[in-house]
Amino acid sequence: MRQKSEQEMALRRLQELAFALQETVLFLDGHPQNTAAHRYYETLMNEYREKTAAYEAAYGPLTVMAPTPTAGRNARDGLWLWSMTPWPWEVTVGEIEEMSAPSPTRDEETEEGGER
Amino acid sequence: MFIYEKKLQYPVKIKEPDPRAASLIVSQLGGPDGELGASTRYLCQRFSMPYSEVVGILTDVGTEELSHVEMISTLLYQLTRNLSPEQIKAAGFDKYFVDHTTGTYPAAAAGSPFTAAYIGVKGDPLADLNEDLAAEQKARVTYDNILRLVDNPDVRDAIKFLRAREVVHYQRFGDALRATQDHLNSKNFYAFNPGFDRDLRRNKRKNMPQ
Repeated sequence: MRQKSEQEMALRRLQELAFALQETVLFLDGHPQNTAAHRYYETLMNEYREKTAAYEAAYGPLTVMAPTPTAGRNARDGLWLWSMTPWPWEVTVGEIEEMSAPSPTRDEETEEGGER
Repeated sequence: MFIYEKKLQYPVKIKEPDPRAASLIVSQLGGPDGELGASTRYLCQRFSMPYSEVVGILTDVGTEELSHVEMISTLLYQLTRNLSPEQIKAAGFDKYFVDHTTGTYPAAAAGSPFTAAYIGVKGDPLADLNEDLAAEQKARVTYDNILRLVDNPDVRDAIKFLRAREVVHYQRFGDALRATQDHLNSKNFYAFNPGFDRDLRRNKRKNMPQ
């Protein structure tokens, strides 16, 4: 099983939170007076905001206009990060190699690959 | 307005290119029951809805469908990487390739381009919500059909997520339909069109259905 990078794991957490938020929003649209759902939304949003800020500080912006303070989020070493970091559909060459690599438990002859 | 977030709603990571699968999955981008049609339908219908709950559901489901357009497009992009002419021909992908290379073009699997003829906006909440219920079921069937035809586990994972969302959207539109019916006179839901005949209490409108 391919090891997920820290970045990938952090992004997964954001995707999970965003998904829970989306479901809560759709519920609230149909049930606008459900205060338990309001509270659940606020709890999720707090974690989502916090984890998004941390992800963006480390890996670059997820939106092009953030209304909250974002020192160091948008440019690094003079480079505009929004367009210059990978786009969500792109798979890097390194990722393809990792995904295609044989798993460590398979018993097979390796070429120059060496150990995993 | 619309804001774009630079992340997929659900991860898509395809290890092996598969242009045959791509030639089928393209229908969920630009086909009659695909995600582009769904988002256009809901985002258009919301303007003539008189009830806030329904406008909310249409806006938020319509926006989610745009994120599904992105997931399908990502599947197509990753499934058509590094293809040789032999792979393109063997997969039956050559007819799409000749017009679009490996670009992302909204069309049905059999080749018809996307059209607004695939969607309905009747300007009547009951008609529009019933269309939406049917649309979600048709999308679910299309995903079922893709699952019958595609074995690649990376692809199946993303498709199963999208299929599950169709079922949830169907339930949300059921909520919207109930909310609409609650606003109307149960003795006659069709006494007037609440998307058009809004000022009934103040003005008597002519030419209303009896």
